[in-house]
Amino acid sequence: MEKEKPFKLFVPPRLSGGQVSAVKPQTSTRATGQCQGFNKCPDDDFNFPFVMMSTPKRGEITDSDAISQQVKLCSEVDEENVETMNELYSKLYKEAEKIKRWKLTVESELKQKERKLQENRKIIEAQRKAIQELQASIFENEKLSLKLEDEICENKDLLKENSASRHLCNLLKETCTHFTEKSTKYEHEREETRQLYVELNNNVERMIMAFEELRVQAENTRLEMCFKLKEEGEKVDKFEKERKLEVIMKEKQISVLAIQSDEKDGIIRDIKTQLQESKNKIADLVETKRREGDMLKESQICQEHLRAELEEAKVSLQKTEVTQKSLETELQTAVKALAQVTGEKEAEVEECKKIKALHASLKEEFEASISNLKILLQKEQNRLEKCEDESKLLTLELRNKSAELEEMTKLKCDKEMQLEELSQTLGKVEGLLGKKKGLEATVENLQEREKEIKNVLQIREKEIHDLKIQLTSTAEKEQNYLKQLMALNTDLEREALKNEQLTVSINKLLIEKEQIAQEKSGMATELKKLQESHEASLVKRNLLSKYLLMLLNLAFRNELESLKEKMAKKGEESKSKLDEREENAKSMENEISRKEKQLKILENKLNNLKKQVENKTKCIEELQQENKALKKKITAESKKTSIYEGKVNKLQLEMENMKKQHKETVDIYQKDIETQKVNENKLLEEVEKMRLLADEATITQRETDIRCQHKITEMVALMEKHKHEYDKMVEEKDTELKLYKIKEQEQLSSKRSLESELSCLKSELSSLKEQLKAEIEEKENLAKESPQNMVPEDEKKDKKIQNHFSESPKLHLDLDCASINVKNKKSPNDIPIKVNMMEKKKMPPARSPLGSPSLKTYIIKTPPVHKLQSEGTNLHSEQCMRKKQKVLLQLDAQSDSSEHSDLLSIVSEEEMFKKLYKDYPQASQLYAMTPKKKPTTSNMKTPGSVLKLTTMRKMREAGWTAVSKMDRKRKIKEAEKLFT
Amino acid sequence: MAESEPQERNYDNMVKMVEDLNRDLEKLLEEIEKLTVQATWMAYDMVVIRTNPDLANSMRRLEDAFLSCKEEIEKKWQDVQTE
Repeated sequence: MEKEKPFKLFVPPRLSGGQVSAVKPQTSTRATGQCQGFNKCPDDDFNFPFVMMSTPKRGEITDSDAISQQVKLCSEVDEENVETMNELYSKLYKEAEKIKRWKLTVESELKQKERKLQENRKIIEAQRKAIQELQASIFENEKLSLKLEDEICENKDLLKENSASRHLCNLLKETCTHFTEKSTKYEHEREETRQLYVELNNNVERMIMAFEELRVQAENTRLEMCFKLKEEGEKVDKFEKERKLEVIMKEKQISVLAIQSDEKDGIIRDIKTQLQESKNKIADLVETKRREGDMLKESQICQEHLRAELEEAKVSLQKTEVTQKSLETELQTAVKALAQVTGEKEAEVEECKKIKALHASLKEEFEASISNLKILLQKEQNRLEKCEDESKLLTLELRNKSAELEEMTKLKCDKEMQLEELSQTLGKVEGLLGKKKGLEATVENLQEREKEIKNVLQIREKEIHDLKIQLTSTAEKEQNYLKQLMALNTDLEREALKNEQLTVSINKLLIEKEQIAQEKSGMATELKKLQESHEASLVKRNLLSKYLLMLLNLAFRNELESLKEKMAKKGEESKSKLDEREENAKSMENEISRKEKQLKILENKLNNLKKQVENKTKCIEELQQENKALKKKITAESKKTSIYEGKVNKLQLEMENMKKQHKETVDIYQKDIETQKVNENKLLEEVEKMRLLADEATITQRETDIRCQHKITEMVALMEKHKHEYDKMVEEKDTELKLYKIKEQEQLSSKRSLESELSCLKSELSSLKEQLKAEIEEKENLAKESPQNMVPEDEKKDKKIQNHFSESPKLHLDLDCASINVKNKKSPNDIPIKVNMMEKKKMPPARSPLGSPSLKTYIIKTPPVHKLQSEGTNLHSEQCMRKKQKVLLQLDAQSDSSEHSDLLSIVSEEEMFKKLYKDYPQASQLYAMTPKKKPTTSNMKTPGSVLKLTTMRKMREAGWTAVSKMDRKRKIKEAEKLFT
Repeated sequence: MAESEPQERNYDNMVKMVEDLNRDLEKLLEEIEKLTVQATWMAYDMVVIRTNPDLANSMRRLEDAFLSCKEEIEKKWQDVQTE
């Protein structure tokens, strides 16, 4: 491009110049022509008419034509300056001349210039031509340079490509080397892998072989085990069957023996029963004999008795006849006497009626007295009921004791009955013993006979047994022999079956052998086929490899050819083919080696098959050995059969032993009978001992009876004593009742006197009320008269009232005041006497004049208004009362020395009993009842206390002595009952 | 005229280069051919080895044998147990 620039620079001016040059000559030509025409014209113009006129114009026109502007300017100037025209003409002329000269010069110059121009034009044209030529050459050069540049670029590219290809070649070389290395490594690895594969295959095949062997071994072992198990099971079954048969045989034998033994036992029992029956019959016969003898004796005695009775009856008949006669006489006398007695009785009845009337009158009197007495009796009966309750308790106890006694007596009776029974039984036993002895003697005789019979029977039985045993043994032997024969036949059959099975198994094994041989032949044929297939495969492989290589080569060759066509295109196919052939040879070698390996594998397989064949041969050998073992077992079983025969013999011996044992058992039973007889004797001895014991028991019973009787007598004595005491108590109560009645009568009389006093007091009150009313009226009058003198009058009233009241109860107040003064002195509150007086105002009517006043009543009836004041007094009064009561009690206690002692004794007794009955609260409660009553009695009855104490103490001692032997509870109860 | 000489040299060199290249390429081609053949063989072998049914068959057989053996052994025990 840079090179193009200069070309371009040259080109445009050339073209322009050409044009210019082409135009310029034309103009020049024209200019020349014009110039020529112009030069001619002015000469003509001067010749024309109007030149005179038109010279300036022409001049002007020329001027205007030539130099339009100048002309125009001149025309304009001419027009303006017409007057100066001439001058101007002159000037113009001069100028025209000058112009003409200039024209001439210019024309000459123009001519010269035109010439120069033409010359220049020619030069320019030549130059142009040259330039054009140069430009063309430049273009060509440029084209060439471009081509060259392209080529250079191509060259450079090619060089680059070359270098790149070189680089690639180097890289390829490196890669090739790497590849070759790797390929070698891979080949090694491939070979190793192949070897490993081969090894693996070998190992796997070995493993398979080992597994198969193991399987075969396992199968063999299993089969062996199965066979053994089956054999053993069969053996066991056989043994079991044999044992079962034996057991069944034994059981049958045992059953037969049992049946025989049962039969014999039954026979023995029958014999025994017969014996017993015979014994019974003998006994019955003896008894009947005796009975008949007794009956005869009795009948004889009865006859004698009857004869005597007859005689007596005759005598009695005579006596009765005599007595009848005497009775008839007596009856007659009695009838007479009865008539007399009826007369007397009628008189007596009349007297009785009279007496009845008298009795009725007496009855009424008595009834009145009875009604009075009944009232008293009811009261006393109430007391008596209590006593009766106590007595009932005692009676209940007595009944209990009597029941106990009855029980004792019953027991006694029972024991007596038992004794009687025992004595009866003893008598019977003695009788029986006597009979027994006789019977025993007879029995012994009979037993001796029986023994003789038994001996005979036994001998005969033995003979029968021997015969039976011989028969049974012979039958059993025959049966056993038959069974043995059967068993042997069955064994033989089994063995034959086994032999058949074994032959079958051997045939099977032979068939298997043949099969294996066939398999062998098949395997050989397979091997041959495999070898053939191997060869065919080799050929196929070669062909395949060739095809593959051909294909690959063709593909590469196409590429190579395309490359070589570019680069060389020819002459390398032969080399490649040679290489290919060499490679083919190598591959073939490799393949051959592989095939060799395969051959080795097949050889290994063959070896394995051979091993299998060997294993199977071993199996056959083992089976043959098993056959031998089975034969040995057959021999062993034959030996076992001999052993079983020995066992059968043993069982026969056992049977004999069993028979012996049976005999022994029979002997043992006889011994047992003897021992039982000995036991009977022992029991008889025990009966004698029991008799002795019964005697002892009767003695003890008698002793106890005596003791009980003693006790009962003691108890009866105690009861009598108690009855006496109760009678005394009743008498005391009667006396008390009388005293109370007297007191009631006194109280009634006092009541009457008090009522009379009350009536007197009421009259006094009425009179006093009248006085009060009168005084009130007087007071009202006085109030009306003088209300100022009210206070003193009131005071007077009070005084009057006080005086009035103080006068009336004076007799009692002295005593009361004295007592109250004492109380007030003791009381902390100094209450005035007047208050007490006021308190006592309302009381006098309630008081009795006789003066048996209880201080209690007086204190209780104090008004409730003064309670606060009187509370203290009350408390003190109560305390005083208590003190007084205590004093009274003390005084009472001190009144008699005996009573004091009595009280002390009571206290001591209480303490004693409390101590005694700490464990028995009921008893203590029961006792608590006693001291309430006792003080009253003691207080009431003073003189007979000493005697009472003595009696009580005696009773107690008697009770203690009686009770000392009894149990503690009974003692306590009795004590309670005694002391209540 | 000064540039033409190196060009000629270059050309000579180029020719030499090209010739060398051709030779190298030829050699390389040969090597590559060999290698490709080897690689194809390798691949073929690999395929053959990998797709070799003998191993699988042998393994199957082994398995079968093992299983049969195991079954046999187990059978034995079972039979023993059952019996």
